Amino acid sequence: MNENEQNGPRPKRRYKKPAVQSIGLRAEEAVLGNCKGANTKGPNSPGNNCRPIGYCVTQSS
Amino acid sequence: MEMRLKIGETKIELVSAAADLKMGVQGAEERFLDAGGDVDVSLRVAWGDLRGPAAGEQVFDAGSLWQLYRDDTDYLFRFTSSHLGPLPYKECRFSADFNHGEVLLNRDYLNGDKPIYPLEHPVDELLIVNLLAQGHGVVVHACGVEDSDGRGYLFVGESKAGKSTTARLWDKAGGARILSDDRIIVRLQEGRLWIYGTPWHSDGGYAISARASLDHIYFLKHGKENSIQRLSNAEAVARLMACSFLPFYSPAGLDFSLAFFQRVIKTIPAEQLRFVPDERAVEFIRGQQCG
Repeated sequence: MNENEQNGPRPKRRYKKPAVQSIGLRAEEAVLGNCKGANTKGPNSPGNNCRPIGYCVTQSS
Repeated sequence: MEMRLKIGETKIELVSAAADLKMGVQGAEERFLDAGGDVDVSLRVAWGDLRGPAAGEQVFDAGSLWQLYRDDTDYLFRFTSSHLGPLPYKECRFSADFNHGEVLLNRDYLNGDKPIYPLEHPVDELLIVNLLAQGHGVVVHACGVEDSDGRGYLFVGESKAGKSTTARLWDKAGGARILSDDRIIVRLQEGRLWIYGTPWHSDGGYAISARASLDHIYFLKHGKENSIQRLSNAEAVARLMACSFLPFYSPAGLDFSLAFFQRVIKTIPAEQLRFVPDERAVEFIRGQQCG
């Protein structure tokens, strides 16, 4: 006698229809297409080691 | 002139090829400077003539800041700003394994009198993202905290989800160490999952070169009360993928990242955390661990 016969038939799991769940992705953040912050050092920072142009108009978080 | 950095166990060496090209770092990157020893990545830095078209085929366009090209052997990142001018201000060529490369700087757009950080963001992060995708780990949009009992928490979320707020709350509560308030490297080392601080901080400026074990993952959401909700493994993996910095142009890198997060979620509890932005959020988490 196998284990299943000893314990009786398992109750069937109720069928659950598969569903698509969307998870949002913020592409502008995910691709590193922006500067990191207003106080970034280096060529991004006005008056630091490049011309004071402050080209970083969009910042990532 | 040489400069060495260590970010999430990755050691990077920069060697300036020009006497008038001085390198230096300021701010958070200073905490990631490293001494001698073996290196994982070796980069040559030089002035370059970037007037010509990029070599190779364009494989990715990140928008206004950079584009990626690929030739037979190398990856080529070109960085351009309309505020500086029509030409690239920087070009980075990396070998396929990202262990070697060259950073060319446009002298016309840069003032060589002052020290330059050749890997200024986003170059340093792009380099680390691609290196980790070779089978080591992933950079996650998250705040990382090590509590006084050594437990490491990853608070994951996109912009405005509450990462900086969480960092401040844990800092104010005392006894905890904040690895970063915005970017955390997750990687497998010595058979364990670790979270590492990075230089790429947010408003709070939390950025330290240290690691902690990864013991719990919380996906942040502002709420009217503190509560947690268990997520299915599939949803947790999907949320990690959506809140990470991935090489979208690399099928192998994406395959690895997905498999890596599946392993993470099989090992580490992951829940959605709705929180109120005050000290009770810290008490709530600590209470969860005791309970």
